[in-house]
Amino acid sequence: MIIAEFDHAQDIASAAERLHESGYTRLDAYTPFPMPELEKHLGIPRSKLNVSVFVAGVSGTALSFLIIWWTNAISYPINVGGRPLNSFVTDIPIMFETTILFAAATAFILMLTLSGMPRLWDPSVELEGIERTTIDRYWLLIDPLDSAFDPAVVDEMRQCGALAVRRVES
Amino acid sequence: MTAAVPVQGIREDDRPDVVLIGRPGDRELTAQLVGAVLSPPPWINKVLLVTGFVTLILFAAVTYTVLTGIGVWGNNIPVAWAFAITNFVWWIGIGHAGTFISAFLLLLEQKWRTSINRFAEAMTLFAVVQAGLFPVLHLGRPWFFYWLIPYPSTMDVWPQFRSSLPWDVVAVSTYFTVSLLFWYLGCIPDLATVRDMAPEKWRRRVYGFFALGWRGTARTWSRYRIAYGILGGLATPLVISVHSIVSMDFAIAQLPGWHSIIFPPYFVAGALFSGFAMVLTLLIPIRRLYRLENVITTAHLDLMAKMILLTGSIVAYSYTVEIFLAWYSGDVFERWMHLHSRIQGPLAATFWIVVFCNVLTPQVLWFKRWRTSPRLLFVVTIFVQLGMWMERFMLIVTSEAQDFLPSSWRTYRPSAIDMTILFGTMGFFLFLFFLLIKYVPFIPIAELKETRFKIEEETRGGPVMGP
Repeated sequence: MIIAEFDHAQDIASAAERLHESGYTRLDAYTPFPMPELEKHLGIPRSKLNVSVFVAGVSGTALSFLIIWWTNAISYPINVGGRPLNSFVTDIPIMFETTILFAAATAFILMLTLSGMPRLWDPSVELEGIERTTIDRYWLLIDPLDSAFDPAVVDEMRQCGALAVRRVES
Repeated sequence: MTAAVPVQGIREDDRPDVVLIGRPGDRELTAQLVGAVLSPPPWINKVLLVTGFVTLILFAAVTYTVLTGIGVWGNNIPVAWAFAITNFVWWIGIGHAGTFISAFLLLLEQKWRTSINRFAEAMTLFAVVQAGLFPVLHLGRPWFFYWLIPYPSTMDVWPQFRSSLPWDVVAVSTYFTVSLLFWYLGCIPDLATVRDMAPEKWRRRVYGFFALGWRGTARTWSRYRIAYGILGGLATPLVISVHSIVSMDFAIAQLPGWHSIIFPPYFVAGALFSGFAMVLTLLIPIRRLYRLENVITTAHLDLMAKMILLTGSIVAYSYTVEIFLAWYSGDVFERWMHLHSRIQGPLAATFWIVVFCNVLTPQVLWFKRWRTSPRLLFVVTIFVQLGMWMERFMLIVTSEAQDFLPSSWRTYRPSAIDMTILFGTMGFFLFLFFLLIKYVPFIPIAELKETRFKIEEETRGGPVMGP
C-alpha cells in the first residue's frame, strides 16, 4: 500500500482527480472531514442506505398500526361514545412517530455496522502518524495491485503537493 | 485555548454575513476547539458543584413527592394539570430549537448552523430529560409508568390509543431517541479527534471507546454523510410532529381555552420561539467565557435574533387568531374564557405578562443594535423564556380554573415543592449542560473544517474576505 500524505484538502482532491483520470480504481483516503468531491474521484458509489431506511420506516408504520388495531379493536375493545373501535385517524400520530423511530434507528445502526464499527482496534491504528488524519492531514491510499498502477505515481504525488509518499505493508 | 484568530484587513466581526472569522488552519482550529475539553477552565468545576447541589435538591423534592403522593403539589380539582404539565410543555418546547437548528437548517444547507448545532442539539436532549420527568411524576404512581407501553400483561388490558396521552408517550420517547442518535452520530468524528489529540492515555482510552473506532476513511465519510442527511430529514418532520402532538393533549379536549384548531402550529411556533431564546441564553455567556467569537460570530447572534422575531410574530398572530376564533365561534364558554376570564379574571396578570414578554419585548429586535449586542440580546431572551413559561401556565391553569360550571371554579396556587421542582430542573439542566461543555467538544470540529473548506473554495481567486 502506498500512502501519500497531504496537508491541504485541495491538494488531495486534485491528486485523486489525476489518479482517477489515469484509471485507478483501488483508492481510498483518510480525511478529517467529509469531502464529497473526493469521494467522486475515488470512485465510491453513493450508499444505498436510504433503501434500507425506507423499508424500516414502512415496517415501523405497519407494526404500530397492527399493534393499535389488534389491541384496541380486537383484544380489548372499549366503546368510547360510540366511536369506531378501529379509528384510523387517531392512529396516525403514533404510526408517524414509529415510522421515524424505526427509520432513524436503522440509519444509525447500518451506518456503524457497514463501516465496521464499533471496533476497539484495527490494523490501520498501527500506521505511524495516522492520528493526524483526524486533525490536519489527508492521506491518499494507492493499492499497488491496481491495474492502472505505475511506480511513477510516487513522483506524481509529490508534484501534486504530497508532503511524504511512503510504502507500507498492508 | 488560543485567543481569537487575528482578523485580516477589515473588521469582520461587524459584518452580518461572516460565520467564521479569519481562516484558521486545520490544526489551529482543532487546537482551539479541543482545548476547551483537554484543559477546561477552572471555573467550570465550581459551576458543576453549584448546579450539582441544586440537582440533589431536585432529587430530594422528587423523592418526597413520590413517597408522599402528589398531594404535596398545589394541584386541585379542577386544576389537575397545573405546574407539572406547564413545566413539561415549556421544557419540551425549549428542546425544539435544537432540533430545528441541527436538522432543518442542515436540509437548507445554512452555513451558520455549523458552529452551534452540537450545542443546540445537546440542549434538546437535556431539555427533554427535564420534560420527561413531569408527566411521569404526574402519573401519581410513577412506578407504574410502564403501563403506558403496550406489553402483554397478565391483567389482559391494553393502553387506549384513541386518547392523546399515549401519543405523547410515543412522541416524546421517539423524539429523545432520535435526537440522541442524531447528536451522537455527529459527535463520533469529533470524539475521534479528541482521542487523537489527547496527551493522556486515559483520555485516549475513554474517548477512543466512545468514538467506536472511527477512522475517517472516505468510504465511512460517504456513508456518514448519507446517514446524517437521512437523520436530519427524519428529525425535521419529527420536531414539528412532537409539539403538535403535545398541543393535541389540549386541543382534542372539550375545555374552553383548549379546544382550538390553531393549537398545533401555534405550539410549534411557540416552541421554536422559546427554544431559540434558550440557545441564546446559553450561547452568549459560553461564547464570551471560551473566547469563541471567531466561530460564533455576531452573524450567529443576528440570525438567531431574527428567528426569535419571526417565531415571536407567529406567536403574536396566533394569540390574535385564538381570541378572534373564540369570539367568532359564538360559543358562550369560549367567549367567557378568552374575552373575560383570561384578560380580567383572577389570573389576568399572567395574560398581561405574556403579552408584554412575548409580543412587545421581541419588537426591539427590529433594531440591529439589539440583535447584535450580546448583552441586550441576553436580556430579551430571558424575557422570552419567562413569557413562554407564563403562556403555558395561562393556557393550562386559567382554562382549568374557570371551566363550564361556575360552581366548580377554583383558583390555583403552586406549593413550595412545585417551585422547588421547577427550579430544580433548571439546575439539573444546567448541570448536564456544563458536564457536556466540560467533556465533549461542543463546537463540531469536523463540520467547521468542512465549512471553512467550502468558504475557501467559494472565495478562491477573489479577495479572501469577499467583496
